Amino acid sequence: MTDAERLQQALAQAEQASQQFQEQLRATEARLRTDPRCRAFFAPYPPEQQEAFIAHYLQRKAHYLTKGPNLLKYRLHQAIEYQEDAYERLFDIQQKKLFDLQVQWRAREIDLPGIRVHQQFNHWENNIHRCPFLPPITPQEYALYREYLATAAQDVGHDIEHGRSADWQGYEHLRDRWQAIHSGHPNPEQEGEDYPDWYAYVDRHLQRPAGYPFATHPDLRGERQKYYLKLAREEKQAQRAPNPPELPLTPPDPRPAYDAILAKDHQYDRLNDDPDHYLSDEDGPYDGRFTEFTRRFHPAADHIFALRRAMRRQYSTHYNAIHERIEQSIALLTDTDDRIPIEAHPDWRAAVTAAAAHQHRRLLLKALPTVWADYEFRIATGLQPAEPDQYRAYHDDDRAYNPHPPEKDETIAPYLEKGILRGRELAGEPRDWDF
Amino acid sequence: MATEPEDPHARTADRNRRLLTQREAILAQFADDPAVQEWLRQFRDDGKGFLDKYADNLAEVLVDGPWPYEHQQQKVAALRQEAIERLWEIQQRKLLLLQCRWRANELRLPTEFVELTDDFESWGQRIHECPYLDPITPAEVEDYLSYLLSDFCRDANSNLDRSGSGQDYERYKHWHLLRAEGINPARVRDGAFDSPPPGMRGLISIFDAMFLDYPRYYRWCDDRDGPPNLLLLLPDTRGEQELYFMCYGRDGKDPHEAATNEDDEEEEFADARPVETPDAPPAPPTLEPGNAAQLEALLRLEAPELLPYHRAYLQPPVELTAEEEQDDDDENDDEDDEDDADIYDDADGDEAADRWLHDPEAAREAADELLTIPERIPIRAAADWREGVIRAWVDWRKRQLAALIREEFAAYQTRARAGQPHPPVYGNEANTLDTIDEVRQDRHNWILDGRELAGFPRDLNF
Repeated sequence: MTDAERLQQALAQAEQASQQFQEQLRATEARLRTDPRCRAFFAPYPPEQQEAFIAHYLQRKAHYLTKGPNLLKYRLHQAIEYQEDAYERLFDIQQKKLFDLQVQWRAREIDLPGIRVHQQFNHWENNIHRCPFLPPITPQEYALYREYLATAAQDVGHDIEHGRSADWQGYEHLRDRWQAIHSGHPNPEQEGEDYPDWYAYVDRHLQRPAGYPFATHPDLRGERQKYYLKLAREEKQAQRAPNPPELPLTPPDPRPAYDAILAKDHQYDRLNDDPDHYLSDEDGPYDGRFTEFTRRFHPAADHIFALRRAMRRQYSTHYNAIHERIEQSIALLTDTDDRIPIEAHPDWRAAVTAAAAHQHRRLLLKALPTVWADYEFRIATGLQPAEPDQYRAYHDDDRAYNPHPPEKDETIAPYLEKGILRGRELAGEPRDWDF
Repeated sequence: MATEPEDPHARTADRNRRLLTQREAILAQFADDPAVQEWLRQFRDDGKGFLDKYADNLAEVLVDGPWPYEHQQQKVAALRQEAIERLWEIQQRKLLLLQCRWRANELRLPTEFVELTDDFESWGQRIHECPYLDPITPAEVEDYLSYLLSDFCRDANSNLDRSGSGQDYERYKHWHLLRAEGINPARVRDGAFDSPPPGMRGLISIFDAMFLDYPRYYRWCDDRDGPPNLLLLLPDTRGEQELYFMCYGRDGKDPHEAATNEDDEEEEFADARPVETPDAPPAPPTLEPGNAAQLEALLRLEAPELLPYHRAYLQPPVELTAEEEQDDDDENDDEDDEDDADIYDDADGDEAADRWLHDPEAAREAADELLTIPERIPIRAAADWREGVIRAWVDWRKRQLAALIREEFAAYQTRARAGQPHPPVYGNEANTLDTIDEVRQDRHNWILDGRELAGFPRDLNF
């Protein structure tokens, strides 16, 4: 479908929706005037009041018809948002415990039931609430988490520069970052992932030695796994007949594609970007061509640039992720009458973000006791804790596909199984998992 | 019906229609242009698809761009207008001091300039051509800018109207007299509708109280210059004399003698007041458009899914409560109560501005404004984020105003050096001046009549 066709279709849909909407309102108005029950409702009042009320009623009904469904969802979400959030956070405690087990497992200090390859830790990361070899959360651990959240947490989720970890068991990613930092990499943030604040907090609390875990625990099993897979891969490559080099039938078009990325690509907007970068005429994969073409061929180029700049300024939240987040932060802050303090800052956006993070943390701390009581009750009565799913209520109707269902608890990917076992053989070792 | 309910689908359809029209026009404009074809040949596949995409993007700019563009132009123009008016506020203050002295007979001005107190109002409206004021000096501008950029200046948000011509002697005097008596003028202003006297007199008192004000810049100058305050110190001799002769001329009798009859008038008003009898029948039921219960009663007669939408619409934001936060919340409540009680205690006269600093709607508006500004804007620490955001916006606005005031002052100096006239300041002079003239003409005639009736020559030499 071309863009024009898409537009045509959107237009037809909007026209139809508009027609339906108008019919609904006309029918409603007719009903208000003729339905005996409605007439009985209006009877005691003077006619001019009736007219004003009908007009207002139609306004209100129009609003409900268009905005009602999402508003209702939002209210549900609003009511339990922080309980969902807080409940998911309880399992940060378990993620850290699982990560420490992974460290020990990789160092061959321990065995874990059912764990044969390190990829399985990713499976349990996604099913943390029913990981069979993790002991339940203790009151002491819960208390420590509260303390962390109250005093130290940067990862409260509303802070753009300190998002929460989504890679709890990504041992290798965390190690990449650690190695980059300790090997004098010029931009360590380009490598791997941040070691989560909560992990560091627990390490300090448990007085783990400096350099834990990457300097203190070798990754023996990870290295072995890699070594076996390499042997298997090399064997496969040797068996494959060498292909004759393919001759292209026609030489590729050497000219550049018009939508080739011209300028640096903006992965994410960041607070320390130029504050007006979203207005730039030259940035982005396509803007440069747009600008060049307009300047060359359009008789009113300057006016078009002025219009575009004004449009992007006015609707900056559509063009700049930071501004979009600011809107969310303001919404969070406006949700309460409490006076939430704000710090001085050269950039008001950073200060608002931090104030919203403060409020977010406060609401989480408020919600934690309720979800903790629920968790304790389930453990005490032998029930399995519920699955943490932050958006249960809000996105009820389109739940995300779960690539980690319980039936996969014991399985590992076939390529890993075959490759590692073959590698064991090629290394002259027994064809088993005992390495 | 009063207003058609908004149909968002119709709006979407309209926008899509305009996008399509623009697209076609843009494609027609460029598709067959050989120069365009030549340019496109620098790309793979001769830039196939480029024009389509270009037409999409340009159509969006042409459909969605004009309103923001106009809106921003208007804002820039309004800011400059405000800067001009602020520059001339310096002259308004000087004119007010002259008015005080003139009213007290401390000085006379040529009669072709000023004959009646009304003439100061008129000169205030055309301050740009007022011939008997010293020109604005650089030092005065610098002082004005220190005022503007200080927190003392609280009228620099576009939401708050600044007072009109700056020559409203009676209102300013009333404001000062209230303060001298220890009464906060803001309390009177906010209570304008509380218990007005009945009839015409009530309307006038509501009107007086509603606009009770004294410009912040004048207060800044008063504080800078120290006592005495001419508004309070100097008697309004001319004003009182004018009033006496005017009433004499208008009513045809000596106001001093007529004063005794005013009590009778009060009596009449009292009699005219409807008497509430205990047996009066209850007021008839009324249908109020915003009444949630009445809306709900009707909604119950409709499809069942509408009712939850209605409740979701009404429901205030949910606050989760847990024991450990309870104490904290109570403290906050206490603080809020105290704030409410303290509102008028400082007798500052501008509590409305203070309350506005904690208004969530104002904070949201300030944030919306800030989000359209592509610069890093500093924010100060505040106990309430709303105050921080609002101040960040107002401070930014003040800095823009300050720059524009400097520009306008430079232009003022250039004109002054070249002997050119200054352009009108307020833009609506013609109408306002006509009204002022009409009122002045009536009063002028009444005063002359009164002079005669009181046995004086028919002139203004009193």
